Amino acid sequence: MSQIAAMNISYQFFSFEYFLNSVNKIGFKNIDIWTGYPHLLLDEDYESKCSNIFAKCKEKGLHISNITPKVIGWPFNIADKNKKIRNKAIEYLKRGINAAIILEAPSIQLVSGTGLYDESKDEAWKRSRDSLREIADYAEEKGKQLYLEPIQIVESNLVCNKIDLRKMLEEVDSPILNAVVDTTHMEKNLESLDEYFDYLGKKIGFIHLNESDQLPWGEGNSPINVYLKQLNKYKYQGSITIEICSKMHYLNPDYAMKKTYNFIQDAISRQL
Amino acid sequence: MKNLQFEQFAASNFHYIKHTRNFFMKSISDLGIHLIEFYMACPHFDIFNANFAEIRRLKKELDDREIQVCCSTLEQCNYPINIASEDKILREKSIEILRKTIEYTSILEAPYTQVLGGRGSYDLPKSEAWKRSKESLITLAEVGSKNNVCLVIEEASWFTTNTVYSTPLTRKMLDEVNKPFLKAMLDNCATETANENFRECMVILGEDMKHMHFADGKPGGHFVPGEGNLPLIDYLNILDDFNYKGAITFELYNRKYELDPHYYMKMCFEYISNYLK
Repeated sequence: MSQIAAMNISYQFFSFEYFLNSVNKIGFKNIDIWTGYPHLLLDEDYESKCSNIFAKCKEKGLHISNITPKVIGWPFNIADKNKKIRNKAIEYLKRGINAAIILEAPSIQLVSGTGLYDESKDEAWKRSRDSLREIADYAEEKGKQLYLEPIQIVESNLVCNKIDLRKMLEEVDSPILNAVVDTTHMEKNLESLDEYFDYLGKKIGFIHLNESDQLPWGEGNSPINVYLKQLNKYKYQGSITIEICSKMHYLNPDYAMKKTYNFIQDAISRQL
Repeated sequence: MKNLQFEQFAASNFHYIKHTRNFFMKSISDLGIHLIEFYMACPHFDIFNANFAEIRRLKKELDDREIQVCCSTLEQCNYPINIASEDKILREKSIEILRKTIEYTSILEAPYTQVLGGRGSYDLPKSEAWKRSKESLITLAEVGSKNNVCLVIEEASWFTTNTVYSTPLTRKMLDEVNKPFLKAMLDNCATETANENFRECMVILGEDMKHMHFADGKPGGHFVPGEGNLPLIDYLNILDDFNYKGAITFELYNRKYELDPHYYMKMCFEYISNYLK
């Protein structure tokens, strides 16, 4: 359990204090901060907000294992054809890296952005790659790790599976840009953790261990035991984040996270 | 059908946002449609960075294709825009972006712009969120009045907002704000999610009901006709009974349609053509 972090995305209808109290009481030692409304927007005043959050986490003994800048659904697209939007997105992600410094988080999660589906994918791919290079160079200077996540085809037409992911990592070619695998997206693509580890090996440094459809664990049909076995087989030592992204569960996030924690703890104890 | 006309049905770009604005415009022209609701979201319109030249360019594109805008709808579900927020800075920013939306809507010569009540965090007092929402709406209704653009407030679902999430609450907000440039709209997926009777909603809002979002659902989802289980014909008959003269927008606010938006928009208009035959 010491590798596992709770993300605040499912607490977005509640205050950040509520989130911290909830996960602390449940027993989590790590949190992954999603920079969405109302918890932490990376706006003008983000530095003071981060300092404030860091102090509160320290008081509760919570470690911030990763920063997840919210981009999906927002106009922050690093592959956008409109230069203004693209530059704004890059600046936003650099603020995410600065936030990670204040919050003493070792890493930041990224996605590829998207092209438009009636335009050239190659051009969008190049824009995404160039943006990722710029962000990676910045992160390297600041001593942070980045993890690129393949998402679903309804969200992006660029990095959506292990093949796109390896290609992008190779093209950007930065030692601090590595891979994060989300088990929900992976399953939607009919891929497996074994395939990811075979194909990307040591580049995998971060896992989103999620139930199907990003439900609370135990409410979907993902094979937790298979996932845990595979992670053990590869002696996976990196961070693991739990995301619950199901609107109906946003109304009672404490219940959903507690259920998830207990479910995973039980599955891990049965592995030993 | 005694009163409803084909010309009242509007297309919209909600499910076109994985394609260029030009793709959307061409799609609408190809369908022979001349009325749209314009969803103000990237990449079709970047309201945050846009200037007057850009909104005028959009107006010209619409004019060239003889397309009228019945209503503009700023993205307020996904973007960090919340007029009821307890975060003062965010609330002020939300009012500013809606102010800009209202001004630009007037350049588009559209009569209405949609607005949501916003929400407060669920562990904080709901009554405070309501007050903030009301204050923001009073400010915005005055901006509307100056620009001759009427705001239409839409109920969101109870699991996404704790201010305006039913027709009686819409009525209450209209009465408390009490400004001529704040009116109301209905979305049949939202009324069903709130477990409301559509005819009663029409009675509650009366003359203040100015705009309509129309889609199939289970009960939410904003599906194309036939993919959900809602009594679509009943809503149309009720609108007809009330001699409703406003626009009826097909709102396919669902990612599942984004990969082939033209096909699904066409399906909606074929449905309504058959119905009006």
